[in-house]
Amino acid sequence: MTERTGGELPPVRLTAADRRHSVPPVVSVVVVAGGRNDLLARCVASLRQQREAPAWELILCADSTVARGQRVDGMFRTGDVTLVPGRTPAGLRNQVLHRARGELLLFLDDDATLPPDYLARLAELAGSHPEAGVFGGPNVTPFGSSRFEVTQGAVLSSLVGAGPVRRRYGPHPATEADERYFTLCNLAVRREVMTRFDDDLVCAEENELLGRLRASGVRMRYDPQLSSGHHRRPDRRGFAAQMWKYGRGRGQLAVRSPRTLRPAHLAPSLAVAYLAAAIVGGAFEPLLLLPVAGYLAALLGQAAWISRTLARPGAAPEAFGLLLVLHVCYGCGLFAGLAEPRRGPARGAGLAVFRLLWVLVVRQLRLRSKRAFIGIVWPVLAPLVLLALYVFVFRTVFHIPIRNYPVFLFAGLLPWTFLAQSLGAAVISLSTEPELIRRARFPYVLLPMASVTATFMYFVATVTGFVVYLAARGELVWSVLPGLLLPLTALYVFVGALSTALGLIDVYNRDLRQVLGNLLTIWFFLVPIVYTQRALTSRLLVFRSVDPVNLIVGEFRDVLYYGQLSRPAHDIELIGICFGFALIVLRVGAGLSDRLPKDV
Amino acid sequence: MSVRLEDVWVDYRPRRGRHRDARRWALRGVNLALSPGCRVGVIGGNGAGKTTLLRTVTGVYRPTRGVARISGRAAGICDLGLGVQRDLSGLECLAVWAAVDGMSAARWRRQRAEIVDATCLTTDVLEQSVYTYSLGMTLRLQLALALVNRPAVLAVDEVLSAADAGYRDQALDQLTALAVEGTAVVFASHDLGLIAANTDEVTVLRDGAVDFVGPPGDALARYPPP
Repeated sequence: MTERTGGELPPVRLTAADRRHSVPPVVSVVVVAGGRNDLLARCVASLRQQREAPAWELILCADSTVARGQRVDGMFRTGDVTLVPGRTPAGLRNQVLHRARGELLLFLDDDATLPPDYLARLAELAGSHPEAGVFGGPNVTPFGSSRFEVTQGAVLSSLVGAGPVRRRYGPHPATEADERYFTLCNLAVRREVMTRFDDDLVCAEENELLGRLRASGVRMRYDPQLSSGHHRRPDRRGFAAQMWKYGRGRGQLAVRSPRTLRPAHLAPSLAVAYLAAAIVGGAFEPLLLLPVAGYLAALLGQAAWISRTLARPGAAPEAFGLLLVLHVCYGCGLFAGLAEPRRGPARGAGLAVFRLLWVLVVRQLRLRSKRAFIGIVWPVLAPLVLLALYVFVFRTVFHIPIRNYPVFLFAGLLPWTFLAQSLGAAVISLSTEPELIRRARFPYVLLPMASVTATFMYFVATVTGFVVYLAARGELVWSVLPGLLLPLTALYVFVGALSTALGLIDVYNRDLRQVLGNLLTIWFFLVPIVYTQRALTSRLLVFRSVDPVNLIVGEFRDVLYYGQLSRPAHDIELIGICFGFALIVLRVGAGLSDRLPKDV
Repeated sequence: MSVRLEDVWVDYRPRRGRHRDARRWALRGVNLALSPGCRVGVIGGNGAGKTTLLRTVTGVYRPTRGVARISGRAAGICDLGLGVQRDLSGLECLAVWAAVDGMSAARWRRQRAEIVDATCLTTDVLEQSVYTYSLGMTLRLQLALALVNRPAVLAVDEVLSAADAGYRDQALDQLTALAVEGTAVVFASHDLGLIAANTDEVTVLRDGAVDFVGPPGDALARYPPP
């Protein structure tokens, strides 16, 4: 068990040597102090024990709004302590950035400790990699930590526990890196590339900063030899609070810059949402519990592996519990961060995006009406024309034995026509707009989305007309009508994402616009629009489970033709496929947005 | 500082053909600082990187290497093409550009009359489709929006050559007034007389790199480069 009272450690006083060397320092160590003086004393002591270190200075900042400021100030009477009004840690660090004189800014938390040769290694690494602007390594559980803390460290560095960010918590081979590799308790940045942190973020401010640096071409270097010790939380409650904070920070960051969000960050949140849905729907759909069983098996496997690594059989249940706490708290925290309103200009920026989308939608509608007689109403007429054609071909000529065939057909034809019209218009929505794209930087994804949204408005109008028609004929089951909201939303999201993807592809390769019509025809006949699902051979049934349009057509038909609600399993599958696809497209689109103005 | 470019490199990559993996550097290690109210000229031969520099200054192009720091809203008039919206009327075009430039709906409603006045075009003309406009009239639309929007940085490429002599002088006076109010204005032009008369400092670009930075007289003496 680690002794955490400061009494056992020699009293630490910053000296003039710590603060200002006679030669300009190579490293400026920036430490933000919380209310944990005993840990801070260990941190500073580890700095003073550095061997063969280059010249360095310590810049300590603390929040002056609480007693901790006075305590820190009293503790380091001769030191360079900066007390600033109540701010986030990012705000505190921003306050002292201008004081740093070193070529390298080393950011530490007050609960971090450094091995004696850390600064020497850092200087050596920076010298051998002049092309890199950011350096760092893992933060590991310090020697002498309690068993609980050691297990916590193992959970954080495990694949199931922390996924792509596990390298932050355990040594991995030296490599080129990105924001996934670093945390602020062990991060060095060359002063020449350093910019301010976003001080609105409660956490993950380093990820936001590193994302910006990466976007501006700054290279990063991860080295396991730059490992620091990081004090773990003493109990489950502290660990849960820490994970909640990490998740919340990631959520806040995702709102500010969606490109930083990776599928792995969403995994805990989706797992939590799925667990909740499975608990509710499991009674009706036992199959829903299968993935839950798979998830629990993965946790058990990871816990067993941790126990084996630590050579302590008793660690397995503890690790299992911590993994579960990590996922639940991080997942809920991420939801909380996503839901938080953005302050100041950032919030206004969110509104501006919606305004711009609306202006572009109106522009689409106006362009449709220019130099045309039926352009403004054709999207409504097109499905009716197709309906008449297909009814003639399949009912009159081929005598398809389906009751009330026009209604059956139209219920499937409506979503399909929306998809086909949207894709046809959106595929060229980026490549035909170089003037607008090069005018100013804005979310370019709005161009295909505006095209899709304009078509969606026609589609909703047509669906409304169809519902009114069914109601007038007494063929509508009103109680299931709300069941149409989910496939409508899923269809909009899916078509929006697919249109964006095709628009991006068309910027780089114009073949797609030539073959799109043929591909859509093939797709049309693979989806059971003019025939029933049962008419498919077993080999073709595979499309039913992977093709979201197949699911959407099925759900439209369930509500409008059969007058029943779809199965919950279909709903969950639909949400997973459509939103998952949209996230991937958004991520890829964000990655290309830097190049788009030059390539379009 | 409104804009600071630090060791900025920008490249273009051909998308097709046997040279598709080759990079062509349009800017090479450019450093540039624009302070509020400055009037900076950019001159250089064809392909020297002027337009790329202006698009980087307005944040449309992101540096491939280096850092571009832009404080406040940046606007650019680098292109008078209308694209797919050539069927829209002048007023409809202005509404779209204002939204793309980040103007809020309330501000657009409040300042629409002011923008219309600044175009020096009649309401009848503004209600016609812009495919009937000359380049000079399109320039008037774009410039009017920039003048009223008062960006922190305004980049104007060689587009002023599309204006008639009377409107060009009026536009230059308005740009000077904009600079007095704190906007950093950067011109790129082959018209050395215009650059000499309307800028405080000139950057000479050559093959994407900064060849010279200094007062207009000294810069023009070194241009065209040997």
